[in-house]
Amino acid sequence: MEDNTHLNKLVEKLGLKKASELSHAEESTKNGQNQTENATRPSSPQTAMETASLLQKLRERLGTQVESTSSIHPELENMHNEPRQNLIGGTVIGNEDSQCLYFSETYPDPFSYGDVILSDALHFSVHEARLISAGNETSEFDLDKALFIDTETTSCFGGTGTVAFLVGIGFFVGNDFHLEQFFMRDYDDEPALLEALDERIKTASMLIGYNSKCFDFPLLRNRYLMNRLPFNGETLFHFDLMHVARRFWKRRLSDCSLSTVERYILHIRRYGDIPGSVIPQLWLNYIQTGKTQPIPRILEHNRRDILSLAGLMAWLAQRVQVPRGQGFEELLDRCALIRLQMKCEQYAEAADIAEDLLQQTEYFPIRTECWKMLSDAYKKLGKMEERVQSLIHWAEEEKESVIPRIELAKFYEHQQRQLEQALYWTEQAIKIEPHNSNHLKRKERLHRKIKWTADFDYPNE
Amino acid sequence: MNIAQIIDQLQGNISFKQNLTTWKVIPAEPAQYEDFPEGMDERLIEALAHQGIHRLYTHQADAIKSVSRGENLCIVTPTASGKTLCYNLPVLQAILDNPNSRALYLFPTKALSQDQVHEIKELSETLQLGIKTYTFDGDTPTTARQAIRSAGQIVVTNPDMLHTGILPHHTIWIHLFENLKYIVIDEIHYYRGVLGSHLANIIRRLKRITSFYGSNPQYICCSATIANPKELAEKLIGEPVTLIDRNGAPRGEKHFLFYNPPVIDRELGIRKSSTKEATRIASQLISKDVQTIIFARSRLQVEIVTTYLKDMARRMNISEHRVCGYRGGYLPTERRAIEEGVRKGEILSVVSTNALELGIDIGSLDACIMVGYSGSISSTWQQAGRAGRRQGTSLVILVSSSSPLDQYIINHPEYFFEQNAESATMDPNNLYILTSHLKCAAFELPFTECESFGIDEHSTQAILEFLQEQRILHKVKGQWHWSVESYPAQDISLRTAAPGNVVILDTQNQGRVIGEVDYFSAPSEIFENAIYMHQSETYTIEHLDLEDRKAYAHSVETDYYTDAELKVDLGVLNISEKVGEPLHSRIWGELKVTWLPTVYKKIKFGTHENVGWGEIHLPEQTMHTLGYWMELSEELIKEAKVPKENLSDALVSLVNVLRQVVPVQVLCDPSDIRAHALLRAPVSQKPTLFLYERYPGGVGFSEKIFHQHYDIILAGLSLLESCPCRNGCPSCVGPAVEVGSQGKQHALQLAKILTQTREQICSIIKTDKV
Repeated sequence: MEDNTHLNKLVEKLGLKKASELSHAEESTKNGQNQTENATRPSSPQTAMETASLLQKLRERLGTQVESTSSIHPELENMHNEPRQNLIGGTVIGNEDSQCLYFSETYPDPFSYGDVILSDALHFSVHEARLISAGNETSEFDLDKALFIDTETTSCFGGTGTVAFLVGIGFFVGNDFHLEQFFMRDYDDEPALLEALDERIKTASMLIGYNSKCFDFPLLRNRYLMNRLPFNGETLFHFDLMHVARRFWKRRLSDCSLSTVERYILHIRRYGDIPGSVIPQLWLNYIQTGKTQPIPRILEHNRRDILSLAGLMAWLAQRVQVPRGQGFEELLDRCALIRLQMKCEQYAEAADIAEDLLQQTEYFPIRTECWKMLSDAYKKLGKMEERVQSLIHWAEEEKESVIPRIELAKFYEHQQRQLEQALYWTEQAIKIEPHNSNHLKRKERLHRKIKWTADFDYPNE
Repeated sequence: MNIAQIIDQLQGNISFKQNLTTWKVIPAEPAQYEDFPEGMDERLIEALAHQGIHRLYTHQADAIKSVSRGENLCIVTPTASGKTLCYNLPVLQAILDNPNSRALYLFPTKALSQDQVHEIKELSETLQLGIKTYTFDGDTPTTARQAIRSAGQIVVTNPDMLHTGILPHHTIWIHLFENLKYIVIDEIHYYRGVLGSHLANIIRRLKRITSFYGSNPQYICCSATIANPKELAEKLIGEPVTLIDRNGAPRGEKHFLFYNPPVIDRELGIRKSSTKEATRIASQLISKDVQTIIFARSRLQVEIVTTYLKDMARRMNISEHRVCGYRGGYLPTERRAIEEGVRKGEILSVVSTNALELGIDIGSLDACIMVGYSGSISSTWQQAGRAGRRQGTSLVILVSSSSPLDQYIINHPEYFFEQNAESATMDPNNLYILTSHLKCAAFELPFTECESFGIDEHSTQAILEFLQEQRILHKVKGQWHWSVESYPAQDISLRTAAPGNVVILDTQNQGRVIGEVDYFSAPSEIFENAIYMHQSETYTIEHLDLEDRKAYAHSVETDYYTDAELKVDLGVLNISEKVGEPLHSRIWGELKVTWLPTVYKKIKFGTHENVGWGEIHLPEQTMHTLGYWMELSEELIKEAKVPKENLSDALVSLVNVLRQVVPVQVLCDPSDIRAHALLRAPVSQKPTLFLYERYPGGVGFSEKIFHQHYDIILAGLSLLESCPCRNGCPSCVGPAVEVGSQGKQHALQLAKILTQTREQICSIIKTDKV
């Protein structure tokens, strides 16, 4: 009998695992087939009896006979007899209601990680933090009391059914870096994990994570709420390194995931690392089957993530401090630095670096951006002569570029009232974009103004 | 000329009156008022006075009193009776008492929720307290969502959004759930069958969450007239409700006319087209400046009637913009504009599908014309309710088509006027649907050992254990936790909505979107060379790209429209269970249903003559679903004494009867099940009756029918025996014109043999035991 197509359909509809993925599936399917022949009629609806008999049918069709859980998964039998932490390591912490596993490690100074020494991160000042945050408020930035944080979760979707089963944190004590991890051996370990984590959060004043504003933090907030436990994280200053990474490397890297950034910026290669995407399934397998084998690798993955967060801070600290952006080896990074300085209204510094870059590179996209930022910086600084010079240079260099020409036209029309000059640059722009109605309107207006001035001998202010 | 004068005129019009089979006058009812109940906020009373409301109708007062007693309620009142005040007043009162109070409004569709927000905003503007009412649905911009979650005092949404967007993320809705006082579920008659089962389970999930946040909201349900509103509401919310149905709104006199178009060919019995007759009557009303709504049976018919009426309007020197079509497939902005036009009286005549049957606010009109019978008593009353202001007379005319059902209704007016409205059935404990939502519920909050989910504790635990065996849940320390990586609500769709609409682009107008058609209807509506009509503009379809969900069209002048013919086929994919019974067997399993548009006809406007045809070259569409079927043996047919030549009619009759009784037996909606009879089924070559589920994949009705095989035949038999009609009617086998004059008798004979053989065997078994 072709019972399998139907079976698979049902499995699909209920969103279950394929029968073949379950142990003992084959045997019980055979049993199921025999039993369907003399299936019984259910009695009046909505009684416990009916549900039970329908469930029995569901089981039969899915090929899972009623068996005690232990005989489906014999490995579960002894699971609770043998303390699982013996296989994973770590210490049990918590109270009598709930316990979780605790791991800690210290990385004494000077600890070198890739190209950096971790304690360099401590040199970050509030001022520099503001710069890499593109001008956002950072007055509470304080690395001495910062908690680097990263979670491993049961799914990447979020929602109330997603749990953070492993939370890793890192912090500096003096110049030494401390790393701690809290791990759930099962769902009932969660209160212990959350309480232990909140103890650490209480003493910190700042959180640093990667995509943590959108993912880790809201998820943790959910977990505290679902467990009705107090959470002291709401008031902490939150610094998301992914936003910084995007500001610097959006154009340079294919993506700004932590693993890409770590590999191409910090020059760190992980060997034998588990991809983050399989971690949820490994933990779910572990709680269901007791297979502890992948757990140490998950812990290692999480430790690496925390170290990379600190490493990234150190890498940035080393470079932002060097004057005139000289710390950044890559010119694209320096260009990103100018963008940030413009946002922080550090126009003089921005102009200096832009001038330097124009001396150093022939690479066209960088030059265009530098010209633009340079002329804007001069405008903000009120250096009109320099601004005009930079715009003229830009226009000469890029024969097909409209922006400098229009900027010049605006400048001569509104600021200098040199209408003929303005007309000249407008016509130049029209040569490049003959149908742009804005340019044509400007030209018309300029003609009108010129005529008006001539007719009435309008005094030139 | 006002409507009363027109009615007088019609009464004197002999040629019109001779086509009427009934002229029923439903007398006017005066308003029944009550004073504002004690304790109502002065500001609220003042705001109402501002809108000209100085007293309440009895049902409004009843509702407010019932709410203040802390009861859940179900309000049943006709269209335009001030139903929304029944729930808006208690909600606003609660918010005035405590600005932290929150209310959740559920409407079946997005269009209805937009409308509702509009209405509450109006009232709260008069209150000048800035009560924050927001719609939260798929169209809500991400930037606005945060504000809605934290500050929205009234959140208006639909079941789908509650299911996928709100419940699984309840922690970020903490402000709503902690302070939730009222849950308003409007148009509950819409939640029948499968959709009803889904909503009942979503409410179960909602209750777990409100109790987690310590709130215990009251439920206010509203329904159109159905046979069992209280029962439906109680099933939906799983709690007792108080029924409020003492309608105090005044009602003007209503004239309900059944019009049968005259016979034009006596020999063939051909009648004048109902479309043309209805259009003619409507145009007379237009000429007299009577605001009229015309309900047509299909989207195509809407366009045809609109075309005719616009043409007539032009000839009468009335702006053609005062005649509008309205149907699914128009763009939302266009629809909003039409609704407003009707409300303001700028639009004189609106032609609509049943899309306007639901509570979209278009105000009340003077007259309603139905082109053909809608197929259901309750929706006919709802459509009729669109005509009739609180004072003054209104006119409703049902123009029947020549279909057997229509002819039966038009010739048996008592069947319509004396019958109760249909009851709405649904099964909140459908095991498939319940299990799906139990999964979602476990994702939202872990289950504890003594918890129950709608059904009793023992059954709940049994399903939880089952899900644990499947490794979907994981039990530790007496709690079941969600333990799969996926997000369960995403995989469970509440409706059979097709995967994406096909948009129609105007190639002469830079690809402007003209309209849309749902995916499953596209092959029979917008095939290559089809004429697509939109507000009576005609376009021809150049190309249909089903994969990209696009159709390309350009505007043309034509004097014809197109109509496709559809071939429906059934095939057995897999047999789940087959049991041989005496002289027949019962089976359930998987079926493949296919639709294939084969040819189309070109039909001339005006004369409706067939002026050509073409082939449609499109792949067939298929749906896999579950079905139940019954194979009859030669002997059985011989026993039942059904002559060979009548067998086909007999089978159709019997399967129609079974389809009538199945919804009651397995608790689904009639529209959830389809019936089909084959004289020779493929493979078995036997006469076969099929009942199959309308939902892709099915939800298990077929298995229930299979197990209740004899109960269903017996129920069918008693329906046949008790139905007072002679040769068949829509309540049993279908009208005789459709199933032949012997259909009912033969179905009865078949049903008797089917059950007799079983009784004989039962008695043999009994005697054996003795």
